[in-house]
Amino acid sequence: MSKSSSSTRLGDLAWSKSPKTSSSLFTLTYGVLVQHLCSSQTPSLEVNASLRKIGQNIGIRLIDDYISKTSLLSPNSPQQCTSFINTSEAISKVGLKMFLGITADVRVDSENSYTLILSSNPLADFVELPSSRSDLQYSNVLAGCIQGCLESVGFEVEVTIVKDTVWGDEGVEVKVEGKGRKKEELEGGFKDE
Amino acid sequence: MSYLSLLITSRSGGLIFHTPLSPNTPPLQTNDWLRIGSTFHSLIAISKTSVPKECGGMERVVCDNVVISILSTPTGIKFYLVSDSTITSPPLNEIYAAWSDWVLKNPFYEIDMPVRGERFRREVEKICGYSK
Repeated sequence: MSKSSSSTRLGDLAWSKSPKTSSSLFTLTYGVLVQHLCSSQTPSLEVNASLRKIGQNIGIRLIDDYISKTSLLSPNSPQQCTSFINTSEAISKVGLKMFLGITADVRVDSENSYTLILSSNPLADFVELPSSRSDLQYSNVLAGCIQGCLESVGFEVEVTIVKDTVWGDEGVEVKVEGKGRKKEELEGGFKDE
Repeated sequence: MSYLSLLITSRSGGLIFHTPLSPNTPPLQTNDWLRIGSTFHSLIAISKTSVPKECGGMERVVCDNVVISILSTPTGIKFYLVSDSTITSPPLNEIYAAWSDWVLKNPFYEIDMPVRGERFRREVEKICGYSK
């Protein structure tokens, strides 16, 4: 409980320190990007894959921003994710707050998977999907971004958007499944038998 | 109180950035810097595995007049700040934050490649109070 509120505080602090932009500008820029990928009759499956790739590339870069800024803000209590489930707290209370200004609720589904529940979708404020694009995963960049972040710090994960406001759902649900840890360099030194 | 130089190595151990931070920094060839960078990367990897418990690896190398302070990030980038021994709290986290702003957010920077831009170097010089 106390850990949870300290994460909320850290998230609020990080949000207050980070530079802001107009949310309309952000939403529209993302809209143009998706629309550009969708033009020339590209099948939605390919657009989904491109959005995920873009997200991953963003995540690989943002994770260092996240770690460096949070350790500057709380130098005495480094927020280290020791287990996979810990990452849900870091993403929902600090990461999302820091970069999107929102927080998410977490539903732990099992030891190796959790769902992030966002009450609104900042990427899709004005969006209505046409029927020809009903299979478009509009917010896939978010899934890719979370995946890129977690993979950069050694967690193998699979991230999927389960619910989205553009599909008529109440909010957004992002399912994160852990697939184990990546091997570290030079592993296999002294081990406890 | 002064800093001598900063080195940064990539996830795979290659030197991707180095800069002198004092007129007293010994003038080394780029090849020598590359060798020093990858040697340190290996030393940290060895220091991690040569202890029975889980350990973040070497953080400081202390000599008579010189201290090397090391920051190993969870993503595998490592920062080495060489300073004289009067420096007690090296600004490694500040340099890491500048790295995330001025290097990683540059869309033309390729991950794990050497840093070519000047913005980051200027930022480091500002943090370390070095003006040429």
